[in-house]
Amino acid sequence: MSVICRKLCSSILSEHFGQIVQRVAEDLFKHDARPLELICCTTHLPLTKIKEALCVLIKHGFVVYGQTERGLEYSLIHQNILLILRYPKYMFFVKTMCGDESEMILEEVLMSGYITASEVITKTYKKIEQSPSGLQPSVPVLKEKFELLVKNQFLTRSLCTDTVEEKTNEKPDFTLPDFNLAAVIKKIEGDNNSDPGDSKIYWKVNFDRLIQDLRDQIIVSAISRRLDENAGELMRQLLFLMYLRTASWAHTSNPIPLTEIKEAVKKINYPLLAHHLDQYLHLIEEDSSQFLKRVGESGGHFCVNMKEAFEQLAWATLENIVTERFGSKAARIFRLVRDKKYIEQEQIQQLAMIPAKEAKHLTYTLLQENYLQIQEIKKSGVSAAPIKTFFLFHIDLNLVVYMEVQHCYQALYNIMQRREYEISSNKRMIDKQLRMQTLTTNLKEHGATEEQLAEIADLMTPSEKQQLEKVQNTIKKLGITELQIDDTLFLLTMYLRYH
Amino acid sequence: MAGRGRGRGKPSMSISTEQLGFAKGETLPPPVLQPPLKYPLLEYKPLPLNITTELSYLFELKKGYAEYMRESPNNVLPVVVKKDIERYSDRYQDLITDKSSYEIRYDWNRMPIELKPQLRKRKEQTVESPKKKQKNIDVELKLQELEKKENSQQSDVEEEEKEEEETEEKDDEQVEEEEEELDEEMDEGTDYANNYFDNGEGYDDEDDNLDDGPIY
Amino acid sequence: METEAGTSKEQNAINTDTNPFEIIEQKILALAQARPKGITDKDLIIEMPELPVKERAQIINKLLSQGHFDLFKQSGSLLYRLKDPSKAKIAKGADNEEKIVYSIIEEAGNKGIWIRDIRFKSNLMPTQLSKILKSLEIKKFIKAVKSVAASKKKVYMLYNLEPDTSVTGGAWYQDQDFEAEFVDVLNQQCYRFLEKKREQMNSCRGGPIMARNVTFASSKEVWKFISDLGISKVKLSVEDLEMILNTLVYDGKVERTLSSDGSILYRAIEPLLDSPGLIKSTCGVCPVRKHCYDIGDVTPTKCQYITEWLE
Repeated sequence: MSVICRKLCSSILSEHFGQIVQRVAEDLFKHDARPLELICCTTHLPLTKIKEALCVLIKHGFVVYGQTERGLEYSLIHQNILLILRYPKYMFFVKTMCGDESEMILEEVLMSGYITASEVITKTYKKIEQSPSGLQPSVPVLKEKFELLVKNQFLTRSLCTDTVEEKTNEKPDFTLPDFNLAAVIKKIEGDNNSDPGDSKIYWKVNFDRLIQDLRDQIIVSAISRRLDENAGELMRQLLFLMYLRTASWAHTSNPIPLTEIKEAVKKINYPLLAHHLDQYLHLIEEDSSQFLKRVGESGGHFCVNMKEAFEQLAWATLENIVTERFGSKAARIFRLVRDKKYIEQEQIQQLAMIPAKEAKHLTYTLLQENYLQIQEIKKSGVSAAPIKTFFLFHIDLNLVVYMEVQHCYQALYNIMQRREYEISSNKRMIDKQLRMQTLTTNLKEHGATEEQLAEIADLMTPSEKQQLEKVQNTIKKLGITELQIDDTLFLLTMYLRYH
Repeated sequence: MAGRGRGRGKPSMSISTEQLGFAKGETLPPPVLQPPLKYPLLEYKPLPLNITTELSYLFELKKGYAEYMRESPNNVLPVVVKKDIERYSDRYQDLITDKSSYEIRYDWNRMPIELKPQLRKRKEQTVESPKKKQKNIDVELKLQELEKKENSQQSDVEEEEKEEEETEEKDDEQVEEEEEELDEEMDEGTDYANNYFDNGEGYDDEDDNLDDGPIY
Repeated sequence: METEAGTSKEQNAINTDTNPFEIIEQKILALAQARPKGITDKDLIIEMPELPVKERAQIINKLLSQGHFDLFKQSGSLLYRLKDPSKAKIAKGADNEEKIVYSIIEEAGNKGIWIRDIRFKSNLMPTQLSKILKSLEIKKFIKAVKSVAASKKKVYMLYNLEPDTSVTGGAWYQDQDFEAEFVDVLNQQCYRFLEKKREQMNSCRGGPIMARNVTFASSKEVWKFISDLGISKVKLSVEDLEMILNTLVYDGKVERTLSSDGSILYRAIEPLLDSPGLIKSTCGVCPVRKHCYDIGDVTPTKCQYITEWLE
């Protein structure tokens, strides 16, 4: 793992869990697996604090432990830390799939790491009560929503498998929760002795499922862009049919019979798609993106090719990056090299139709920035003739993707650092606003007059208000940029997962 | 500055101006006399960020989650140490904010016992699977060992304390096999005194002790 | 080449008294005369499809052995070129060195040869060589042509030869200068044409495949559109235009397909992805990213690019 990835993870942890958790994790980063005593040695933190930090890290799935001959050892799973960047997207996805209450339930689970069903419902109930969303809190509805999340496999049982050796053979368990509804209601009403009967049955977020869903969204929207909405919807149906018969993360789906595709399309309200299904299948299959393959002698089966799809998408991403960093002529050269696989400088300028000097400059810029690689080929001609050397340009896709993943890490880290800086250098004003907000809410609760409220609002001068707004916009812009960079990171990570 | 020091004679690289794309006689660009700018002018600007309502919503979620986590007990806060004054009450403070805070938040059935704020010894009997028991015992033993070492090196600990702990440890050794299942609620009060001493005193010494702790 | 020369002797014996062969011989010679650049086997097949392969080889071998033809190899195929009558002249009025230089240049054909390569091959001293070259140039046996490739180096070739497009650069060069702007304009116009075709698909009611098919345009169609626009001073061939269309393919804006009848079809396409989020941040396009650390002159908190971008 690279230094920049470590710094990014560290920064994410610090933002959410504070310095101590960050320092403990940092120690595990540097040393891989190690026992408590050694963490204590190098971090110089109080032992109890280290223990507490490890508890937090374990509960959120960032640290696992295992028994070794050296004792109990803790190790970090840094990929899970990077997932935090994407939590908002998981919540939003669940919102669109299962509704607002489900989103809130998921958020609660994310906040706890793992939690019992009754507890998460209680918490969500209280949250809805307090929120101005206009939702009516209801325990049966929340239970239903919780079950919906389990049925969709967004939540899964959290078994006691945080140890390294057990982690590998863990099978997700989606048995529906069973607890006493009435007891939960009683508990909410304040009866602390009421027992919902599901203590020690914990639930956690099934990230694997959500990652696949975000992955599928990319595929669907790519096809929608390339062809049209109908084709995009067909792709969605194909992915759904793929799940029914294929192991997660398989490179290609098992063959899907045409009849089943027809059935699936009939059930959704896309009349144009249903009418032209054969044609749409043909179009997706024929498209250069090659997301779909026709198989079998009769031609009545289709395979979704995930591996190929992400290769195409990774190329498209890189081409875009080259365009924006070095201009469209550089991107032309990049695509040309991709197309020809191995190509000489002279051919580049001829085929790209770019003046020799400019073509050379761009090619060498791309070479210098590692988007292109060079290969030397020595060819001995007729006997006595001097050995001729050819320099061929080519692209090592995996290498370039890996490089851009690092680029994403750095961009994320930098933007986060900057956001942190903007917040801390305007801390006084932000705090002031926070205090005023609390004051206003308190006063409102106590029936303060308009005048009193206006008085508080005046505590901040117009120029201060202006400044505050500017700071808030800055923080928002930086935050949104992080979300956007993460999109690129996600796509490239998906490519690496398949290749 | 590359090439400096290779000095006299032939340059190590023999790239002619022609190879660099300049024809013979063509005027070469003037030598660069200024140091490069720290932030050279951007030839290509980043694409505009289009803030959609969806993105704004995602940002609110992101902000909300981060703020909640920072405010929550998941943010492990450092202990405020005021050594010179009011030592006694400080310890008392630690006890409240520290010990009681995180222990009750975790289900110790599925957490390494060694992570408990303080090893609490009690005679709770629950039968666990043999495999699991084995594992926990190892941890327990390790920690016992560690604690012993720690204690033996504690020079400034009062005699009384030491004795108390030793007796406790003897106790523990007899019961350690049954210790996996620890019931948090029943913990309160019983071991109050022990906790009190360990928590307050242990902090600064722990590091030093562990430096010469068990060698692996 | 050697094997052919070897077999030619015995075949000559058979050929001498057969009349139809002489007619064919004349035909081939006339063809070669019409094409001073030379003729290939392919040309012969096209011009004389009825001629069997074996006989064609026999005749060619005969002509070669009689010294009518020079044999060249060009891009993998053999090229027969009528021997230059001027060669006879040089044989008379020149010394040995001139003859050597001349034959080296002759060998290079219409692609020409660099002075350095002549020097290597002839083993002549530079001053002597340049004297000879000058003399040959004055006598109009050879000429110097600026090549567009390799930074406008001069190449030498026989005086009467038309320089190869690799030397002149073809339609895209004027006086050895690449006309980048002209190429860019054509690139844009071709795209405009294909984009218009793509817009037609919105009004197409015959199903998605038919809608896609209206977006296709053959290179000939595009060529006609460009010719009708009248933006080109020089006459462009369909092949010239295919070169332009290919740049659009490398721009990622156009896709190229081979139709069932073998013609090349082009169509404007939508990219698979929106621009990636990475390049919406300054760090995505940062030129000094490699110098960016937590401390020093370039840091995320001090970064001027971010500051500007936040304004």
